[in-house]
Amino acid sequence: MIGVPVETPLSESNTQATAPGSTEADTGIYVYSIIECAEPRTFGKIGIGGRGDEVYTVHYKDLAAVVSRTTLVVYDPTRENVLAHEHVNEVSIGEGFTPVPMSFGTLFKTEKDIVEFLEDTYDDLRDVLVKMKDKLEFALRVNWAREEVLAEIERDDEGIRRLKEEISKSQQSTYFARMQLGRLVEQALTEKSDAYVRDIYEYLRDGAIASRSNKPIGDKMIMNAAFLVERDKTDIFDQKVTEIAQRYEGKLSFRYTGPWPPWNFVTIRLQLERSAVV
Amino acid sequence: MLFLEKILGAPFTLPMAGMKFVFQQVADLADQELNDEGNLREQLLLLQVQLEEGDVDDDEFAEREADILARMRLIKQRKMGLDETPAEMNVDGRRRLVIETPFDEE
Repeated sequence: MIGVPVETPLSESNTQATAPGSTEADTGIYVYSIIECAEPRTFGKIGIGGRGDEVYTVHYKDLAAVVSRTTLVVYDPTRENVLAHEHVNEVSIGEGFTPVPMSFGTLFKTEKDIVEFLEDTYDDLRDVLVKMKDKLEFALRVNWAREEVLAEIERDDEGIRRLKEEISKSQQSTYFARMQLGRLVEQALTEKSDAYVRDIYEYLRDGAIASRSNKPIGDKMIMNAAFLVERDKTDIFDQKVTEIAQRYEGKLSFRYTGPWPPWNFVTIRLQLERSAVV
Repeated sequence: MLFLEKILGAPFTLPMAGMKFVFQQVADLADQELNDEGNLREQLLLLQVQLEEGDVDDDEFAEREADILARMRLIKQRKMGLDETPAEMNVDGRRRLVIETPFDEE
């Protein structure tokens, strides 16, 4: 984990930003990502905010910010807004760039502010672009069919099967036996889930430069991972995902998406200066 | 002497304890808000997964998304009231760049 805070005062003034409800006249610029690109480019009228704003580049030397004009509002992370933000990155990936993504909702007031930002942070941005060059992210979410796995455990686990039989035969109170059964089943389920996840990571490891495990979302998901893959090796990685998905057909379902910009492996965000120097 | 101490002590210790209680409550409230925001973000993620998997339809998604975002907005507004406009959109604030690369090449 490398954190590189870079001191870059972008503006000397310290007044409040325009709050929601601002008028149309208060325009700003939304920044999607930073790319390596020396010549001005456009990416179509796909800007966030639903007005069809042109997405274009703002440059400093060989670096460019991918931007579009917008009203100065706080963008809620609605599905629509997030998809609009992601779509711009997808388009730039499709054009052969490797965008280093800005965090969602990043606004600047003027192009001049963005050029200053690129100039002040040029060396650090270049370093991270070099590090991420031609690396793309793929996301893999794995759900399990819990009932199928449970049936398998009850079939194959000797201890659990015997305890179940005892409970069904017993005439006396089975409270503690049932408690114990519940614990054993939970434990066996966790062990199964861990084993599946370990096996999948193990299988995919060779195809990726790095992986990151995020917290599974909801009860059905057992794995929520991101993989960083070389652009020219994505076919091999796709193939490996297909193979491992086939191995677990019926028990696990795989949701595989990408290529994405390397969200999980690099973030560029802005932080407010707490102690403003006057 | 012992008696006096008790009397003199009381007005000092009681408000101090009271102040401590109030500060603790403010701190708890701040924690609560942070937790709420994280919690809401998790709910939003779950809702998106449920939409992708067909567990909720578009109408239900729209309704629940609006509800979660409204609650997130309330928390944000309260923070903005405390002079904490989010850095992403604080175009006039003094901002600095933070680059994080949370991985090591294998």
